[in-house]
Amino acid sequence: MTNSAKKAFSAMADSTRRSILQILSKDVELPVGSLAEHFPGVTRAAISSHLRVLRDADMVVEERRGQFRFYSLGTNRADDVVRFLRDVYQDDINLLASDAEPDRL
Amino acid sequence: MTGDLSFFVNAESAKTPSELWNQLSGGNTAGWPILKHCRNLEVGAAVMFTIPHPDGSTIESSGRIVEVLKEQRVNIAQETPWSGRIRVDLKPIAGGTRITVKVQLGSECLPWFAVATELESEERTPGALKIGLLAPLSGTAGLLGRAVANAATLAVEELNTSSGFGRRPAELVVADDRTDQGAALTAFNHLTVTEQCDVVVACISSASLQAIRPHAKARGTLFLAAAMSEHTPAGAHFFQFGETPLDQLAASVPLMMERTNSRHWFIIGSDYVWPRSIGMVANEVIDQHDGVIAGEHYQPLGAPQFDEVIDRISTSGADLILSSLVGIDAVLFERAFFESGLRSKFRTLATNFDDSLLDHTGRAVADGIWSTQEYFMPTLADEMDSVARRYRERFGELAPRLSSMAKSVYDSIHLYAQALGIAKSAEPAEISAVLRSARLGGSRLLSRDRGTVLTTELVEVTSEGFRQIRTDRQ
Repeated sequence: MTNSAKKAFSAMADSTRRSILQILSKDVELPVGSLAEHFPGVTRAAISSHLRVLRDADMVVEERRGQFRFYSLGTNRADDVVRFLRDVYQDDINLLASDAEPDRL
Repeated sequence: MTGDLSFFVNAESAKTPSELWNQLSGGNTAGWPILKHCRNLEVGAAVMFTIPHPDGSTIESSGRIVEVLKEQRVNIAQETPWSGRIRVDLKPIAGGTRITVKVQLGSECLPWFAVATELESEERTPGALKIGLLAPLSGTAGLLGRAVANAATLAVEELNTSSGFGRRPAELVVADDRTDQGAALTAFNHLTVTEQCDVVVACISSASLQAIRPHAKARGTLFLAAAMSEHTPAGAHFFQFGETPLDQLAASVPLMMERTNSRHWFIIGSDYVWPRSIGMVANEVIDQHDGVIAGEHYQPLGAPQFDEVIDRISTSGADLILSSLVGIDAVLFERAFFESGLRSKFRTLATNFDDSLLDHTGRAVADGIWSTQEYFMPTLADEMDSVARRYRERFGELAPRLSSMAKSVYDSIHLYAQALGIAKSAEPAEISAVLRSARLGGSRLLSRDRGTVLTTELVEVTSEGFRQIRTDRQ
């Protein structure tokens, strides 16, 4: 597994971070305050901490404008995380379509 | 579900939906790897398959068919190592069929990879009590894991609802030991170091227990081993609640000899400490009852090639088989044994054959096998105990049934909550002191931990599932 994929797996291991990515996939960009409104039980500092993990994994990008930081989806998307699983299922279905014999358990 | 990920894959085939359906229904050849071991495309049928891991190993997975539309759709609920759905649709198009697979990865899929690769954990509710569950959700014994995880979930949910953990809520943290000693230690470290769990409830092999025991002792972890084991002492905070080999064999071996009027045994098991302990105790019990050991064989875990040993069994002069094969190996052995045509010539007593293994083996294939464990979920709804009823209500008719290991985990968590209530502290030393005192009364779990031999339930596979053979146990 590549370092980038490892970081993505780590970042995606948390449900709050997965939810942040889902929210950002609907809105182009949001400041941390707007993101925090989606998580009433979570402090703003904790949201900032989650965003830092996501940023380190290149799953979000941060842009500073005046006094605010805006976040949007980065280059290392959830698609990268599940890509290898998708490839597995694609190979499997190609076997079915082509009449080849499966060699796995 | 929040956090689920899903994706589609597609392919086109020159074959008709009907031809593809025949391939899917055919089991072993030229089909879809996910259904390679499934012989009946019907709702409720169990499936087991492997998928590659990015680290180069394989991930043994299992599930159950939940929807079948002939020549159109098969929908599988994945059970291990993570929950999810895998749905294949066949649509006729000009010149063939469009095949679409929708894969839904449950929210625990990515955390599963995070733990397996020793990365950081999910953040938890501050102040919550953490119950760590260490169980096989992949590897040779992975088929057994979903029922165990379900039972732990039920126990924690119920106790949270009834304030059974006191004022603090509890969270369940599940880690997969992958039926592997190295992975078990990684998972244990994840639960105790990264997650800082207050207690670890484990349903793992004795081989994995061996790897963890010194670390649990050194770290002072409150450790409740719920699965069957040979009960090796490991310090003041280490409890062993599962069946011992003597619990399982003391009554079942002589009863099988008496009922079948036979006395020549072939012992087969997986090659690690617990099946070898079963073999050692079996030698003594069989000898005590004037039986004869006609052969003995231990198969490396995860190496399910059985032709040679089946030949040995058939020529050994044995008429009884004692099997302590584990998980997928047990399923594939029983299938191979059935296909060899020998089932009717031998009677088999199995020490690790629960409902999950029966589902994957098939009732017709396993017909007549005796199994002995602490608990079997009653087949009929009106015979079910209250835990079994609540389990079924919570997880539905198509979930893996409540197994002996799962029930032991459920009971262990309830016992922990009782001890917590008396100790009024989550400190391992305080909880252990309560568990070691007589204050919790006559729990079978605690009696087993103290060394009392308690004979296990004995059942036989029939076309209706497991049927109880003996009820006069201690």
